[in-house]
Amino acid sequence: MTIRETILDILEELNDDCDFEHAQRIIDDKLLDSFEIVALVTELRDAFDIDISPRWLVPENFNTVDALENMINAILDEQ
Amino acid sequence: MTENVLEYLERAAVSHPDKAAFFSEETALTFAQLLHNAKRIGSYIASTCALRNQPIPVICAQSPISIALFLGVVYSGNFYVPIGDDMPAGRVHAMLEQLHPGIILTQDDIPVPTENVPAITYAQALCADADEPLLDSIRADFCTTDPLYAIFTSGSTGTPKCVLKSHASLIYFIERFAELFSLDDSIVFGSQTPFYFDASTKDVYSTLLCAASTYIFDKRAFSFPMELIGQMNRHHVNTVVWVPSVMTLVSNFGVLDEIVPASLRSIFFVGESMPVKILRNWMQHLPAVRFVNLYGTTEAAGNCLYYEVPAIPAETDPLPTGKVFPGSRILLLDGDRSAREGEVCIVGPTIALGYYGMDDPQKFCRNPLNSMFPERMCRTGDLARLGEDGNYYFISRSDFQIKHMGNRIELGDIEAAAMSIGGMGYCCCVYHAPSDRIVLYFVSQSLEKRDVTRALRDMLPRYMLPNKTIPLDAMPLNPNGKIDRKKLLDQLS
Repeated sequence: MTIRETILDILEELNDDCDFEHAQRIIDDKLLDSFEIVALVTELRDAFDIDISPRWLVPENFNTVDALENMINAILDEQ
Repeated sequence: MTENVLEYLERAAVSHPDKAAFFSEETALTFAQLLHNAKRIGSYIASTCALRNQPIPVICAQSPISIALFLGVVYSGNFYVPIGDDMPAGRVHAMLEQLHPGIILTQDDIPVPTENVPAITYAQALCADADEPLLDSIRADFCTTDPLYAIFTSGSTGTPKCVLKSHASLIYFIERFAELFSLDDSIVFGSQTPFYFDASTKDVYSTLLCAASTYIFDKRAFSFPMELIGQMNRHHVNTVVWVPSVMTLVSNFGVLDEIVPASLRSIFFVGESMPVKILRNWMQHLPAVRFVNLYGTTEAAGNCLYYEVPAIPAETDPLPTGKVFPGSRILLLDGDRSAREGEVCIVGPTIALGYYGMDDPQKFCRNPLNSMFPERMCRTGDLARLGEDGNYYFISRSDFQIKHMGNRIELGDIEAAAMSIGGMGYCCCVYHAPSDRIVLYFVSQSLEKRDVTRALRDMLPRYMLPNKTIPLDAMPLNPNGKIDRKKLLDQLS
C-alpha cells in the first residue's frame, strides 16, 4: 500500500461518511472532531512507525490528504 | 451564609462589574453583563411560562453564552439540564423523553434537535427587560434544597440517567473546594470539560464564588496540543481542572519539551486514573506547579476525595486517591459490611437529590452500618482500599463501566445500541486498555461495517463510538456458551 492509500484507509476507518480524498479543509470544516484527530495521529504513528514531533501538529498539516502525505514524507526523510 | 448560587453572581457583579467572568477567543461576558443577561433571560422564561422547579434543557456550546443561559434558568426558578450541541439526535430525544420539558433554550446559531418542544433562543430572551419584582417573588419562594441543575450519565439499562443536584449540595462543595485550595480573584481557569459534564461545575462556580475568570478553550486546542499551551499562555490561564487524557496527550507528543504553560499554578486532574509516568513528566517540567488528584462521582456534587501530590512520585508507586473533603464521610463496604477494601460509599451534604423521574434505591440508600436513624448514603460502584498511610487508593469500577478519555462508559450501552440496528446478529464490545480503544465486534448477514458505524453515529455521543468496528463470520464462544470476551481481547494484542 502506498503512503496515500494508508492515510485514506485510516481516515475512512475514522469516518466513512466523508470524501476525504477531495476535501480541502478537513480540520477547518470539522470533518474530524478532536477525538478523531488524536486517534488519527496515533494511527499514523503506528502505521508508519514514526515519531510525530509536536511542531508538526498544526491544522495546516491535516487539512488535506496531500498535506498529510507531505508531512509523513517529511518525517520519514528526517528519520 | 449563601442559600442560592445566584448570590455569588450578584456579589461578584458588585465587587468586579467590568471583569471578564467567562471568555473565549471570540466573545466575553463581564460579571455585570452576565448578571444583566441572566436576569433578562430569567424574566423572559418566568413571564412566558409559569414553570417552577422544572427541568429546562439548554443546548449548549463551549461558550460564555451557555453560562448566561444556565443562570437565566436559575433566575426563572427552574433547573438547567446542559445538553451538548454535538450530541446525536437519538440521544437527545432519549433525554427529552425523560424530561418532558415545557421549553428548551438554545444559542442563536444552534438548531434545536426537536420540534415538539417550544424553543427560546438567547437573542429572543434578551429582548425582555429584567422584571425585578417578578424575580424577587421567585426568590422569596426559593428553598436551598431546590434543584440547581441536572446532568445525564450513562446507565446500565441503556437509558441515560439524569442526576439532580441542589443549590445546597453545590454551595457546600464549592465553598470547601475554594477554601481548601485558597482560590481567589487572581485565578484564571482554563475550562476543558464540556458543560454537560459534571467536572465543569468546579470552573463555573469557583469563578462566580471568587470573582475569578474562566477562559473557555476552543475545542480544537485539544486536538493540537501546541495550540492548547499557546492559548493558555496568551490568556494567562493559571488553574486547570482537566481529565488525565488531556495531560497524556500533551505529554505523549513531547509538547512540554518545546513549550510550557508559563502562568500555570495548579492542575487538578479528575475523571479517571492518572498514569504515574505522565504525571512525572509534567512535574519534572513544572516544578513550581501544584498537582492535585481529585476523585468524585456524578451522584454527588463536586468531588469527595483529594490528594495533593507532595513530590514527584516514584514510577512504581501507586498514586493515592487521597483523603475525604471536609464535611463528608467515606465508607468502604463489602455488601452491607464495613471493609478495608470495598465499594466507595458517600455520606454527607454533597449527595445528589436523586435521579429525575426514576427511583434507584440501590444507588441512593440508607447507610447499612447505622441502624438507629435513616442516614442517606450513595453507592458509587467504585472499589477502593484504605492504605496504611490513611489515604484511599482507587482499585477499579465494580461493574462493566470503563473510563475512556475521561468519560464514564458502559460497554453494555454500546452493545444495546448496536443490537438495535436492524439486521444485527451478534455483537460484543470490548475495551483494550493498553491502547485505550473501544472495539466493537459484530456478526451480521446483511450489515456492512459502514452501516454499523453510521447507525451508531446517530445513537451514541462521540465519546462512546467504538474506535474500531470489526465484522466477524461467527462470534467466538467460551465453554459456557457465552461470548468469549477474553479471546476477542487477545486478538487485539
